Amino acid sequence: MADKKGQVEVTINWVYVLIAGGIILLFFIGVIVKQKTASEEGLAIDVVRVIENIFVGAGVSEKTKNFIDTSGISEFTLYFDCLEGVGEYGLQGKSANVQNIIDPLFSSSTIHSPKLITWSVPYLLPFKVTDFLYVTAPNIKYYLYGQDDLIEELEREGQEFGNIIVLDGQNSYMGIDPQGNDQIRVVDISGTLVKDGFAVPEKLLSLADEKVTALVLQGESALFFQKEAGRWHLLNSIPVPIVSLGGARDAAKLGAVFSTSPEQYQCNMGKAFHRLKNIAIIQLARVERLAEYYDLLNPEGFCTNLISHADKNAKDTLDMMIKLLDACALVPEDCDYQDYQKLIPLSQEVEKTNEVLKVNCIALY
Amino acid sequence: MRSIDTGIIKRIMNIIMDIIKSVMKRRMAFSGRRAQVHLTETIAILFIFFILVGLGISFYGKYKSISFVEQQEEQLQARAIRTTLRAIFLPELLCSRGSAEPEENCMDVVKAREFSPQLQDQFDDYYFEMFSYANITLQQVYPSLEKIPLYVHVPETYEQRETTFFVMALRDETKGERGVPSYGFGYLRVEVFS
Repeated sequence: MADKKGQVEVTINWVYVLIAGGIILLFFIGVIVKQKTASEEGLAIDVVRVIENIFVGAGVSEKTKNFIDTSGISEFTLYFDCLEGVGEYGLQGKSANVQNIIDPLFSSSTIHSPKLITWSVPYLLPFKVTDFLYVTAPNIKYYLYGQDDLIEELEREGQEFGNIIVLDGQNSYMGIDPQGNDQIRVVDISGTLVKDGFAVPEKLLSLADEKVTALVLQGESALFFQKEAGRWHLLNSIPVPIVSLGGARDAAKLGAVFSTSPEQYQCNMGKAFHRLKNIAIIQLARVERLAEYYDLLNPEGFCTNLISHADKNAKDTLDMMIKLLDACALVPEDCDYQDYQKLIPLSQEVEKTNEVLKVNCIALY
Repeated sequence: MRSIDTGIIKRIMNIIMDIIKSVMKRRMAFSGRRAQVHLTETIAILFIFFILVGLGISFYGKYKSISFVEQQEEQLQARAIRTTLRAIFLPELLCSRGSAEPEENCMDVVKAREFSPQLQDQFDDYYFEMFSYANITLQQVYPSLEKIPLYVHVPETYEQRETTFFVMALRDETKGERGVPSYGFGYLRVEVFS
């Protein structure tokens, strides 16, 4: 009887120890799992914050190229988005992200690479509006085709990047090989290689549709394409106008080269137009102070006339610029993206006035 | 004689039974005490275990709260750097040179004086996104003392404040002679709050 009782007691003790031990073990496993999730989220927050700091630094300093080692987070995919004037980037699948309504950032929708390349170029219309930041990676290859200053410039500037290749004809285009690269983007200035419904080079069929994109730049407008069922599919039925004054380092054109979607491109350009309005307001205020200054010096003089009295004077032109941008900001539904093209002649007018003014008067900018 | 024997045997048996019963009773009492001791032991072990767990949690909590404060400080410092960078390179205020690169570390005083009055209506949204809670002032030191508030958005209450200074050249074209702008100098004071 006593033996049996002892046996039962020992068994109960062991069961008790097992249950208690199991509960304690589960408790610690729970704590570890919780900590793992928290530390992963913490890492994502840290990474996004560091990237934000890098982007801010790269974005404010003009004409800088940076190579950022991201091998520590190479298993993650960075995503970039811009919707209704709000840009967003972060690590895919993680809640940490950065939203930004100020800085235009042009890039592919996703980047999966152990290295990031950033390049900042000032956007002038005609005065400096902001610095456009282009984000790319060595495993995103850009194939350029056509005779244009932009192609030559990209080839020259992109030598450091190592991901820009100039095509010499139809055959080299058809032979484009992904070679283990993550994304392929074709930039066609001639408009002969890429057209809606044209076949995509055979070797590119192995890549996912969103990884193969193209841009056709014709005159001052852009057409965005993406691979769909082995053929090029036009993403924007209405060509997206390039709002710029042209010339070397055309920031708006470069933005189209590095953006893979027309929505992202227009959204980032929208950020630039918002900034342009603010800068034009300050420029107008400055011009008014200059007008007061010249009114005191010589009210009938050449400088006063150009600034505030002549036909198409600086004050009126800047005012028209602000009104146009204000109208688009107040009722965006009534303002088509094509309307921003009206900024080009106004900017050219300001530029012309500035050229004349800077000879004998205080320059506008 | 036989009945006497039987009575004696019965008595002896009763005595033995009484002895056994008393021994059993004692043993039962002893095993109850052992169980009590066991129970007390278990409770003591559990008590110590929970004290250790509690201590661990409180130490961890303390460590976390310290690292959280440190993290907040780091974040504030990073924000101070970002805000200063943005303020120094503000396209609204830079000393432009046509389409050429703007002059470095230079602000146009005429534009700076107009910045706050002209763009005040956007300090709660657009520029708040850029600078958040901050107080940015341009202090001219030479040729005359002048304080130009650029962006003032100070919270009613704040725990931390980080101030940075940056020396700037200040260009004023309305003060120059024969088309040569006048240059002064001063500093940009950027205060950020959290």
